[in-house]
Amino acid sequence: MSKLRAVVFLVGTLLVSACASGPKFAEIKGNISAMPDGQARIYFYRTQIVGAAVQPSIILNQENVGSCEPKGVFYKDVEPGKYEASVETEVERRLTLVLGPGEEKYVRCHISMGLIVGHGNLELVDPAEAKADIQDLSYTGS
Amino acid sequence: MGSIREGAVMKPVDTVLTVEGIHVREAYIVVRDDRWVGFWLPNEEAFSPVADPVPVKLNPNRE
Repeated sequence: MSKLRAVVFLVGTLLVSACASGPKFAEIKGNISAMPDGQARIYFYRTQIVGAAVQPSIILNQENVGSCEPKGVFYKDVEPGKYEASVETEVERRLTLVLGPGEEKYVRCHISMGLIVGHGNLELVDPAEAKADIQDLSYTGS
Repeated sequence: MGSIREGAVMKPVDTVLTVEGIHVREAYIVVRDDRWVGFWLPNEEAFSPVADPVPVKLNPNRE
């Protein structure tokens, strides 16, 4: 029984240590800078802890803008226009979207089962749902 | 928000719409003669028809 407890403790410790660190978004949202005039903003976040060891980079129009950290959120201010976001582990998954001036969009990253490594996935999320999702996540910087 | 040869392009308000194959693409709906006839993919600037057009009732206040 004590071995089982030790394993549970170890797994729990590993999961927690694999999560994003930083202040909760709800605590710092008042300090987040306003979107620059004429620009647009994309939030990237991950609520999921499952597959915590898999944290693929998020590529936005060929630029590495951050990583898919469990329980983490960050944003990127961009010029309005067409964008392609992608994550890659065993396979590459892409999401295409368009942003207008002053528009905010929310992209959720999650990890699904893979053959050897979990697969990263990106999805566009309704603003109301996303705003609720990110409150408890750690802000990892833009 | 505009029109194409296949119909009027309607962008969702306060929500998002995507179509998913191998990859995920943001999409708007295309309506013609009160029927949803397909998707407009704004990033790709391409129309993708639905197999069977579906009757839709639009809210004129949110067009």
